[in-house]
Amino acid sequence: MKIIYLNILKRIIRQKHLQLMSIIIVILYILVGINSAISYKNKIALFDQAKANVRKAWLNQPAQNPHSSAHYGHYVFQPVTALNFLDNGVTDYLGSVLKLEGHRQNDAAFSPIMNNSEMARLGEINFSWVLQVLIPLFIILMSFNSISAEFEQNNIKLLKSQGASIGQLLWGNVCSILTILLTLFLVGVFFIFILYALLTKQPLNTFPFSDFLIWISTYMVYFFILILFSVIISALVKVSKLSFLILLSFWVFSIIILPKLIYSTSRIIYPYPSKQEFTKTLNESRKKGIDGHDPMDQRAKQFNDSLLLKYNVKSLDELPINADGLIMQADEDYANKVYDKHFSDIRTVTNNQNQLASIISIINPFLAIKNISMTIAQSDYNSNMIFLSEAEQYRRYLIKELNTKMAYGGSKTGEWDWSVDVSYWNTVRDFSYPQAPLLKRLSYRKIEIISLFLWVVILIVSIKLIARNYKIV
Amino acid sequence: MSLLQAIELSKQYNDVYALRNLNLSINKGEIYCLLGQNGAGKTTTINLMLGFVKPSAGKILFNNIDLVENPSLINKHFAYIPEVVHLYGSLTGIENLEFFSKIAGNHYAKNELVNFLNEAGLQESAHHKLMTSYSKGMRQKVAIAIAIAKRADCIFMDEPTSGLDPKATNDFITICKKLAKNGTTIFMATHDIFNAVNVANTIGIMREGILVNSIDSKSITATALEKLYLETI
Amino acid sequence: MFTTILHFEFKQLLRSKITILFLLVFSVLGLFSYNQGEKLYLQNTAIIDSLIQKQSQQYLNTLNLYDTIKYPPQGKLGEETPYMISYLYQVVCDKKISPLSILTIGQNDVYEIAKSGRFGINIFTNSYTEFKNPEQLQIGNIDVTFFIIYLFPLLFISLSYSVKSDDKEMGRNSLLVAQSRNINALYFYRLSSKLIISCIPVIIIFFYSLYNMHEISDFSFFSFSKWWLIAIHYIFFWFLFVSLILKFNFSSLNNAIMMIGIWILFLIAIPGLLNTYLSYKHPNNSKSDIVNFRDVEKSFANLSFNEHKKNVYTYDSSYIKDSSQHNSDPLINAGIEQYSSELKTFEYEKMLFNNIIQSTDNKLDDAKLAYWINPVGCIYSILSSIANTSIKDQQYFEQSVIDYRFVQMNYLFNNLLKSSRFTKKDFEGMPKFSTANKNLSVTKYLLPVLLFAGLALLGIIFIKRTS
Repeated sequence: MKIIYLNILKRIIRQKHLQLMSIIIVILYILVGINSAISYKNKIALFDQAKANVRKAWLNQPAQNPHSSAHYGHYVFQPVTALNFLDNGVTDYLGSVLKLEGHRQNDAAFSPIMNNSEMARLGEINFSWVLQVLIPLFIILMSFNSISAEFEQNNIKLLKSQGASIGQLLWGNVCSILTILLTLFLVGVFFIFILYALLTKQPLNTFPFSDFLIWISTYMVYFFILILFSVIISALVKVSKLSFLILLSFWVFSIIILPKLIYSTSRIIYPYPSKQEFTKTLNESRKKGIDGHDPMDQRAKQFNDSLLLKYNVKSLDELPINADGLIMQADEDYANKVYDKHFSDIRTVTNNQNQLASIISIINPFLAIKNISMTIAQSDYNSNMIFLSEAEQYRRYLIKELNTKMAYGGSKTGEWDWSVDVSYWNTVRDFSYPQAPLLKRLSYRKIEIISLFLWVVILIVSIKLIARNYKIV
Repeated sequence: MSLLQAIELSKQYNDVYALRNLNLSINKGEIYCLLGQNGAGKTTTINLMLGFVKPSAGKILFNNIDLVENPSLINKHFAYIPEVVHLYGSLTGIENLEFFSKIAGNHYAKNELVNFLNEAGLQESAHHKLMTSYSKGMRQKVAIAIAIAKRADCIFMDEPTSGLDPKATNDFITICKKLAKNGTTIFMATHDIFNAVNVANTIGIMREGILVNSIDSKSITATALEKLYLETI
Repeated sequence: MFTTILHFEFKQLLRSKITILFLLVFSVLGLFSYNQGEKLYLQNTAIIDSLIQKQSQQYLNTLNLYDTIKYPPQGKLGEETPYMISYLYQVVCDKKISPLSILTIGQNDVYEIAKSGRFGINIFTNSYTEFKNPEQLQIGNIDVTFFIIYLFPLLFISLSYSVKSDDKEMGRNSLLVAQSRNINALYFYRLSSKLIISCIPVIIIFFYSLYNMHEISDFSFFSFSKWWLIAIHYIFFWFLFVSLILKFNFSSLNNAIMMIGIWILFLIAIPGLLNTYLSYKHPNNSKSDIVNFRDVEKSFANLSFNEHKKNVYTYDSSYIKDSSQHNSDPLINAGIEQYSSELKTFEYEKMLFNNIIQSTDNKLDDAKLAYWINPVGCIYSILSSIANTSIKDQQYFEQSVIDYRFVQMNYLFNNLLKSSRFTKKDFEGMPKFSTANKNLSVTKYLLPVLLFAGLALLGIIFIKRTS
């Protein structure tokens, strides 16, 4: 097999149109690498600056009532992770700024796509795009006639008579194409990494090398699948023209048509409620209680009564603490419960929509690799959900801290002009959260991982079956 | 003693017999030419001998060993020259020869490869040119060199002179005779009646999958063979 | 000869199961794409209708309030203050959604279709945003525009890439040349027949969309025709390119590779590279703006009362004659502070909005320059503009909203500071929001596409390779 492998390698390298395509890919690496690195550097700078400014504004607040501070609010921004420069996933479609304040949960504002023209929907070329979309075309060009050309050029019988087996031919083609492709891929990865290190000047000891290696390995599996598939089609069809058309149709269908079809269908099967309907339901739950239990006025009366009982007084004005702080916190706690219930319904709709796409990834390796790649680079919907969830936990901590200060800090009920000392603001911690470990993130992509694994197994088994039962006449 | 024998060899595709009860025997160093019109079963015979397809019935014996049960012997003892020779356009003549020889398990030095190509009649100036620049005759010669380099006991040729000019055909016949003289058995499927008489020891005529006639070439002229051929088919 | 060839091609079509299957699949895809656009359109119009209905109900309730309100002998009521009025009657500024957005969804799934008309809510927070799935947005929509731009060329290529080369490869060439009086005309008619066959799904979508859309209010047959004319122009553009490639007499396989290569170049590579370059040259830097806005708002609110009065009187000196009232009523005093604060905030907000517009315009100008090498981007932008789903339409709408909010604010504060009472008549006289879709001229953007088509035509005429 080594002889066949070396021979095929030599022949492929000599093909002019593949040499040209390799040059195009290398040029794209350069363009994409520079753009990604500079764009990433800008994003990090913006993020750091915005975060610093917000913290500074918080610390520079005058002495004021904590309630005013709760309305003044706090801004948080989704962190830019190191691997974002390889795959920025859905970040352009997500709000980049989230305001945290009392009494309400806001949506993240300012998704970059809002300020883009309609042409932006035609897509951008980044490194992951080159790997997911363009490299498969390169694979098709290298392998559509890998076996069929042997038939068309009448070499197959000669090869067989010389002692070469069909299995050797199939694996020889797979291995040689894989060699060329992996060389091109790893050169690209190395080059992009060097550009990242040089242009962004981020400290390398914080770079997630293990995530990076897994990201690389996943793409290697993806390419392996595509090469196996293309060689099998070439072997089964035996006519180069037809093989090319079938593979190209598969490419168009998998990458362009099927993803759009699936998400369009998922929107129909799992529709979102309208925002108006949702807000109405939310407000009703707050007012009348979740599922009609515990309406607001009842809750307020019960809480007030419990306070009076606890401190053994007859009215709220007699309390040694500021009841307004506690009442607001109690309302906040209930609102959080309402929020958790209703927003989890919305998240369920989104998860169901995405789940459908995940299931379809079993027949579409492009969807599988796209989702896994985004997950590893932390630029997918789930990573955004983790951020929003952490931001919401921080908001609750922040508001509770302010309300508690108001209640027990020395003011009395009704003292709305009471203020804290400016040194207080520094005692409130800033927003940060640890990144979710890779395994946890990948647990959301179990189906995609299984899909890639199944593809590899089925294709290897198929090659073995073809090698055993192949008829050259 | 017979080197190669076909005993009641048949091949059936659904209800159609591509080959029916073929019996023939070829000796070592003999040139056997199989004549017949298109679809007579000549290529099927070659495909069966070379193990490309399995027979529906019958045996193929090589030195009395059943090849159907011992297919590994085929690659060891047989070589093949296809009707249409393309080989690999992005390799040179010598590179193609080297590749196909290595597959067959023969690792030759460069000068040995050159010798094979010379023996096959390919001019030296063409050895290191890409096959895309070769004429049909030149590609044919590379295919012959591959067969020679294999040092097979038996070479199967399917319509080898089809599309060749008279000089190229003549060169080809000379090589065949030389190979046979050195002890290589040649089995040739062809339409070329005149060269069949010229080169073959035995001529078989096939019609609709059946070997209808087997003639000693010394006992017949080209004209008589042509008349017999036309009557038979 | 043309009818003979057309008849021959249709006969072949009817005998080719694969071609019939292809046409069926594409027709179904086409109808599905229309269906997706229609769903989004109906969803958007339903949202707007629901908001307008809620607004109407609020209007009636508020009208009733002012009809029955009991004014005190002195001093203003809370219900006469601008913030309260804008709270009681929350104006919805709705974007007019063109029925043609069924054919070109554009960015309608991302842009806001309605904004709050309350003057006190700024551009960063005043939207009625629906729930969206970012992964679905990233993948994009399958609408009629997608079908025409991406899928139609694939269908046409698959039917016509081997029109000439097949005859050569099958050995029919010499016979055809011997039989035909004009071989070039023969191939031209064959290719034209292939085009007609490829257009079957397009024709189905055309009639289906006309049938479904003509009864929609706001449907404009003129715009509908304009849209389809551009689509036909695009189809013709591909006809010329395929003809050009066939002129080179490559083998079937090489034809297929060349045509698919051009498809990838025009539809994927060039737009992708251009978008990447535009993102690099014009990065989005909006994070700081929204954070600064909060502090700017606060700083305006913290001015002294006299400073607020000065701001108001500077803005409109006619308030000075009523200044004696301005120290008397606490609600009026508060109103002066609020008005001054809002005026300053509006200035800042308009400046930010103009910055965003300027930045987007710069990007768009660069994108338009690139139309000369990006004909697909050009066509896509034109179709979006006709369907009023482009960014310029969105910006025009957002500008209308800002303008309306400013007018509303001035009306309400003017009434507070000058009039003795805010009555039912004043409420009825409140400015209403209305906007119409701007009909942007598109024909000048056709020049790059015409250039490409012209070059292809010249190529076809002057390439003299014979069959």
